[in-house]
Amino acid sequence: MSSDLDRQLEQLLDQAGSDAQPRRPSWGEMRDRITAIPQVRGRRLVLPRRLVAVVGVAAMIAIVLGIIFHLPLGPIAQAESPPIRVIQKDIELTVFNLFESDRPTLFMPTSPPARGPVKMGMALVKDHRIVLNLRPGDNLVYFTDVAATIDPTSVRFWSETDPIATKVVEQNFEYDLATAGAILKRYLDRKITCVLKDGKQHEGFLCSHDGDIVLADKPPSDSGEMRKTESISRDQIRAVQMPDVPKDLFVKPTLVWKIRTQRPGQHETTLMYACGHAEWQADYVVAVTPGAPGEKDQLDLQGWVTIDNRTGSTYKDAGIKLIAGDVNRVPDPWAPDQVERFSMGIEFADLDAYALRLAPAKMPEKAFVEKSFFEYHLYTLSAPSTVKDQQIKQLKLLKAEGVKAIRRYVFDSPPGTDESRRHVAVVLEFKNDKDNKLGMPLPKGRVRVMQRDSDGDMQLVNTTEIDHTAKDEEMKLNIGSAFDVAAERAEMNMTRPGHRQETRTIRLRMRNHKDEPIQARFVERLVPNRNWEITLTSNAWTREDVSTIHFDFTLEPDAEKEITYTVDYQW
Amino acid sequence: MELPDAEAVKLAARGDADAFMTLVERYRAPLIAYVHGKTRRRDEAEDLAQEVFCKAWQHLPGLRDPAAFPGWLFRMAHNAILTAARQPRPAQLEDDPADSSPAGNENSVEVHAAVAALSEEFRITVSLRHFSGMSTDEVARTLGIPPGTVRSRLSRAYAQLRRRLISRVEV
Repeated sequence: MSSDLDRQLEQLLDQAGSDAQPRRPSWGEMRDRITAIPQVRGRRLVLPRRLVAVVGVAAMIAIVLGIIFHLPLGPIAQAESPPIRVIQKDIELTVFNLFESDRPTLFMPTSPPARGPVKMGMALVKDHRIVLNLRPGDNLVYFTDVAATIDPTSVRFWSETDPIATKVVEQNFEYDLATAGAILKRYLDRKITCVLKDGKQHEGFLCSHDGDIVLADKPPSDSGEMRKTESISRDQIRAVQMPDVPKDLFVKPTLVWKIRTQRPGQHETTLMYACGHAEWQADYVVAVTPGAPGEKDQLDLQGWVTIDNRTGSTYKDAGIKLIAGDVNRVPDPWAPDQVERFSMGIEFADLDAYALRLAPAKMPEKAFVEKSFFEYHLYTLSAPSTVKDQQIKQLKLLKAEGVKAIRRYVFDSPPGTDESRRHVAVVLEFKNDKDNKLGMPLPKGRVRVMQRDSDGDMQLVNTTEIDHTAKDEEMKLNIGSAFDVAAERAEMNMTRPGHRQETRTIRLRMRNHKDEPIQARFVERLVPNRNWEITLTSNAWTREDVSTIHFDFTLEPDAEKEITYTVDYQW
Repeated sequence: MELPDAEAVKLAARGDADAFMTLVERYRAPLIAYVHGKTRRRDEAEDLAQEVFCKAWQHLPGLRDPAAFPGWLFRMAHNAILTAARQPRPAQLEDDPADSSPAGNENSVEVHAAVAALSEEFRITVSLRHFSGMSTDEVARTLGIPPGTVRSRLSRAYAQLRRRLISRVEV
């Protein structure tokens, strides 16, 4: 008995052991962290009491002599402080829905200007970094590897280690990058040497670098002395030599802080900022299995999240969150007009390519966990994932199999619609609840509806879109027009019995040429902004809203249904 | 052959980062479990464990008895937990739904708490055996004690754990 209990206990301990295994990617940087920390090597000296007394007396005498004779003690030898280092600990990326605005909502100094309305994605980056070797007082700390599309007006930085006594005195965003043009600009009127492809060297004072390089033989002078210039085509130049590289240029966009602290050493810090050109959208694939006659269809639904990162930064092992919902954003008064430089979303070239994406072997294991957040929904990826710069990443949002749906044939014909355009739409109706194997708020996105053909191959039936759909809500997917179901609408009579009164009689007909019964619906849109009353009808009807009613019925194979109703209007 | 703790500690105290990383890999799961058991916050346990290792590296040259390293490390973790508990938590943008339960798995929390409450020598032995995934012989080599002593400690620790986790061990 005891050994059984021990076995159970050992199992319990082993399970708890698996939950104690490290998950944070920052363990990988542990070696760097510790090697940056100096070890404290002060050993306690155990000295004889007599020796202590002698040393103490000698020290006292030295101090007294120093005071009396003002002995120059010389400069205090200061150990050189180790350089300030920044190590990335972990990072979180919260991506918002795509947003369309007349003007940019972010101030991104590195993005080129553009005209017209812009569609802009936005992300919030929460970057935890460890800053090593801070000194008491003011420190200059450089954070590279921030998004190139950062909005510097949105940056927040604080020390987790000492949030009260550590303050940011000054913050700068350095985006004047060390491009060839930027470097040459620093050398206008200064001496440089151009080395040509044939090995010849031309030395002179740089006059212009916009097109060809123009060199002068002497520096400009106030006396207006003539200068002899020569123009060198850029194609001929192999290298440009200059005395030093400008120190005020940065290789990458960099945030620079002047941090004042009273606590030296290591600080855990958090940096938070908004950046543009990151977006996400949901894509759904619905595989329809038609139900037997009289039964509901079965849907297999897969939801994918497509994240498009064009922020100019890679987010390694980042915690990924997605906000679904229309977050209000106001145009930024500082923002220059931005260009919509890239096409939105991705289009699948063909069905095979799309099917390849759906192949189980390609599916990532990570899944999103949904949670309400303010008036929106927050989807968090259950494990960290790396989102590279200029990468479209697809991650699984949900998978639901055996969702029951009603296939309804809907004839919705607003008055005045062109007769030739009147088709019977096929709509799949299902409830987004747990009983129906769903029950998760579904973000707005494109839906591709597919159905197996007689050979068992998946064929695309239709592409449609859903809006943000809360759980327990009814969902409708329009999957196209019916071929074997025809319908028509005719106004049979119209009278005006009095002033501001009207009576209309409408006849609706639908014919089912299929081999099975169908669930059908006529949607009738009454004349808006009028009081109305249905005075005569051959079928029961349901009010949808103030000016829309519908008639539901089952239509047997090869049968026709006719509904006539009369409506009285007053206004 | 695994480097025994005492040897690794001696090397690490002389500035050998590789030797210290051996200790980190050996003791990080026990330390995460200990902090998790004490604080019941799985999301913070790893941060605190990393802090403890940094502090341990810094002060390792001052440790006189290398064999006392595991106990010293756990005492340091205990102090770090108390210090962290006194500090105000920074306001967060939102809770992380990935760890919808910040405590983590309920069973694991209880087991980690029960192991954390064991005496030092039992806790270290059980942690190395079950959280670091070592065999009895490996635990013995690591701690520099005979395998029989490890088995005896495990047996006595199990008896205590059975009493603490009675509801989770079916009778």
